[in-house]
Amino acid sequence: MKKTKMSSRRRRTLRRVLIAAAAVLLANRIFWVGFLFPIQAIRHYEERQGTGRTAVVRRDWAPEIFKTGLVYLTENKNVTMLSGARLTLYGWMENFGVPLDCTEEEPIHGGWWGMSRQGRDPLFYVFGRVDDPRIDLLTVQVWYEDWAGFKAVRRDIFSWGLEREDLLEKDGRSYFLLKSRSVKFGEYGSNLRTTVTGVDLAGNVITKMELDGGGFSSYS
Amino acid sequence: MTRQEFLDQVLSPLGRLTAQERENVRRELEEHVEDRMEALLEMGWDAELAEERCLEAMGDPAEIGREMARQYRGKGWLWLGRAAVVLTVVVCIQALLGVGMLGAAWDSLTVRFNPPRTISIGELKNVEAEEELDIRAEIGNDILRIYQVSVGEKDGQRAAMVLACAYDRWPFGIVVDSLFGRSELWNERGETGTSGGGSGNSGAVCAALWAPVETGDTHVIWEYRAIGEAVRLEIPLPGGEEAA
Repeated sequence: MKKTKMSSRRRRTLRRVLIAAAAVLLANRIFWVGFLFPIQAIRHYEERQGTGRTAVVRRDWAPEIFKTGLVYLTENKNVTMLSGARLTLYGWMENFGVPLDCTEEEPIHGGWWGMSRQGRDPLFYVFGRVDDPRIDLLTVQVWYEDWAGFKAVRRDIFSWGLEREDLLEKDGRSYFLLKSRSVKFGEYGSNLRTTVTGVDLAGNVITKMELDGGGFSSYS
Repeated sequence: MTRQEFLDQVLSPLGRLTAQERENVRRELEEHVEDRMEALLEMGWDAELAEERCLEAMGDPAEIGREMARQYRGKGWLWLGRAAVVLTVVVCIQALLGVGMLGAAWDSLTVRFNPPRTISIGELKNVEAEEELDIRAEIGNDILRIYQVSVGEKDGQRAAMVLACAYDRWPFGIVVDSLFGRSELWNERGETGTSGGGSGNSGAVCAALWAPVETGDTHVIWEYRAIGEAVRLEIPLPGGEEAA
């Protein structure tokens, strides 16, 4: 019998897969939608921030703000970045974030990111990179200045203590990522403060700094 | 054997085929028979005899059926094909929803050939000299292109205004949001002006920066500083070489 030119199941499937791949590529590259994986949304945010390619240190599911919300701590030599992604009708989309410039020599590079959405408790992250190898204990305090008349009173909201072994390691560098739902940052406004203290094994304070790198993201 | 009986026998071992696949097989076989019959009919054969002869020539229907069944093995391929169709439909819907992004894609293309000439240039009065430039620098994945410098009067003092645009190295790519927010224009004495304004989207951004200049100045300096990157470009002023 003469061989028929009928398309087999495999040939038809390959054709369909090729069409789908072309559609995905076009949607990704021209419309910037249709991301199939959350990391593509993070790459999109990297592009917008000009951080260069970063590697994932840790990925957390953060359903408190969006059910499909993911938070990524990523890094490269120059940047430590906390950013997010969520699944939408458009595919995975970026959820903004905070890139930290780590090019200057500092014992600790730290920042914070507050996320809020109407009708939900906010999320507050403190994150960063510990560059001084002498630091064995890291203390993070979140507090606010309560102005009573002309005098500011320090009110502690939350504090964490992290030992060296609690830090996250990536590419020979050490990172920290802390999350709290107790920081109702909307109530404190610009009076919110985050302080990081690095202490060595002998208990000497290596550095104590107020983190000024941070941002709030409010979603509808 | 009639054509219908022949087709039924071919299709009987193909129980695992989808309805569409069965229909495709039937149509292909019918077309095959029709082609052969047509040739015989042209030679003056009787239709009934021609069909019978064609079916005989095609061979054992059971063997054809088994051969067909081999071609349609693999449920995984079937499901993968269906998933690909679903993905294509979903992505097309998403692209339709994101059609507004076409503006950014268009700007990303056009700014390479025809950057805007009118960004805030109205703020520079009594323009005394203007020059087209083509100074380019790579900033990460992006290209910063300085394409015009003008000298005139700004807020009562002599000033140079520089027009620049930035776009991703790849057409349709994304440009850094705050590229011009991180840029400053300096004169030879280290004095700077504020940003003169700009416009853009995720595909391309354009801006005008200015710096005070004095007669005899030969250049101004564009400086960009951001995470892990620093770019410094010397921009000649129109008529600057003569002044030097």
